[in-house]
Amino acid sequence: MKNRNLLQNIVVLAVVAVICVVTGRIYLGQLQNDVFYTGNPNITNVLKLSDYNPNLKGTYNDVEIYEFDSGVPGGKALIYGGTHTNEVGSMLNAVTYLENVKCEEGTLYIMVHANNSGYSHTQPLLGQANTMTFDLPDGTTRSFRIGTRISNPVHQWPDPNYHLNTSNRELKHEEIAEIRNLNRNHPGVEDGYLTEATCWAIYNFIQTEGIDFIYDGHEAGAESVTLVNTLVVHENAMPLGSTAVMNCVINNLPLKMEISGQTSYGLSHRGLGDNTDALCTLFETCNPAMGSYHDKMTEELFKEGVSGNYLAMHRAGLFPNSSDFDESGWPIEKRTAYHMSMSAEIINAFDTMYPDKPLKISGLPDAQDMIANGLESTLKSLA
Amino acid sequence: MISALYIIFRIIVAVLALLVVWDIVREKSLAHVMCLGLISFPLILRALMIK
Repeated sequence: MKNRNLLQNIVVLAVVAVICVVTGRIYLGQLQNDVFYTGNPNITNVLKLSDYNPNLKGTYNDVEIYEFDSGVPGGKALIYGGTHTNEVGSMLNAVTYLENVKCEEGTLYIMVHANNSGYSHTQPLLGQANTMTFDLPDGTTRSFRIGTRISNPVHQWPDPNYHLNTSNRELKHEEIAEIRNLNRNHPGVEDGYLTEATCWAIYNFIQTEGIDFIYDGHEAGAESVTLVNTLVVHENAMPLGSTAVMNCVINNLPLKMEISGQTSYGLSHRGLGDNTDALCTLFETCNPAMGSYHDKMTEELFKEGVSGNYLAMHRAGLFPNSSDFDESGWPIEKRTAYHMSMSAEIINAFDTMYPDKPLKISGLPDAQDMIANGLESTLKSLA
Repeated sequence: MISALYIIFRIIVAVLALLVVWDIVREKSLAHVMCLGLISFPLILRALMIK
């Protein structure tokens, strides 16, 4: 039977093809890895996560770890961001270290994208932004992807309906997708799911290199008042963390400390703290673009951190004990500066508390200058 | 096992996508054709594993 409407059907097919091409290009563009500035002359070696777990070789999560070896034996630290890829302040802190730091004593390791797969997609139905750009003074731009908390199902599938991970965390019911959350699977499994294998690579890196402490950068939504500006530490790291936080408070940074919950299975401070000798710390800043009540999603919301919704909710007293949200919001340079200051203060505290393992760094931008002039003034040009 | 499941999944999605495209060609009602068009492009992208 002939279809007299064949022409209109073909037109619809053509529209479908155009939409497929346009949207497909956006999705495929999100898979392109970010380009980092690696011209810092103080980088002494570039390692790969697959060096510590061969099962990661050829996968999307086989990322670089940048080594800054001072040549002076001493303490060793790992600073990383990008566990949750929508938490951009932590990633940009790692970028700041990568581009600027010089290790004067001891050895520093920097990992920018701990869960690279998370950067290749955004969470369906959350209306998240997927990129942020900075216009540098020389006319060039720096662009960074924004992803979501969990690995891309294109890279890791299927999610088991029940999984008992190596930290004794049961992933079931509403946590089924957390098998793709790097910060719920530490210390990981060498030949497990991609995210577990990534966790295991980080664990094996810490064990093999003898890392003394780790700094895991995160951000939290503005309703997470107990987490924002809080350093979470494993109980072994309590003296280190409290010294560092106290120094920050003395320097007028309103930071807090919290002990890792005994049942925080799979999180870096618990999973790695219980299974390695490293002192494990995790710091959260406030990202108003996260959380259930964020304003209309724009790049400006991620960068400037000004949220009418959260301001109104804080003023209405909906978040008890909240004192961290006002009209100025939480701009990205302030969040990055907080991460930079907190991690640098932990390094200072470690150096003071462990004189047999000296760890000294220099070269980081001034935090106040970063806040005043923006990340555009501190990011290096790729030209 | 998972590799086999992955291949089966993609085959099923690809067959569904082709069926929907074939229905678009054959369908007479414009409203139905547009509905089929709406559901076809996520199927096509998923068959191609573009996410």
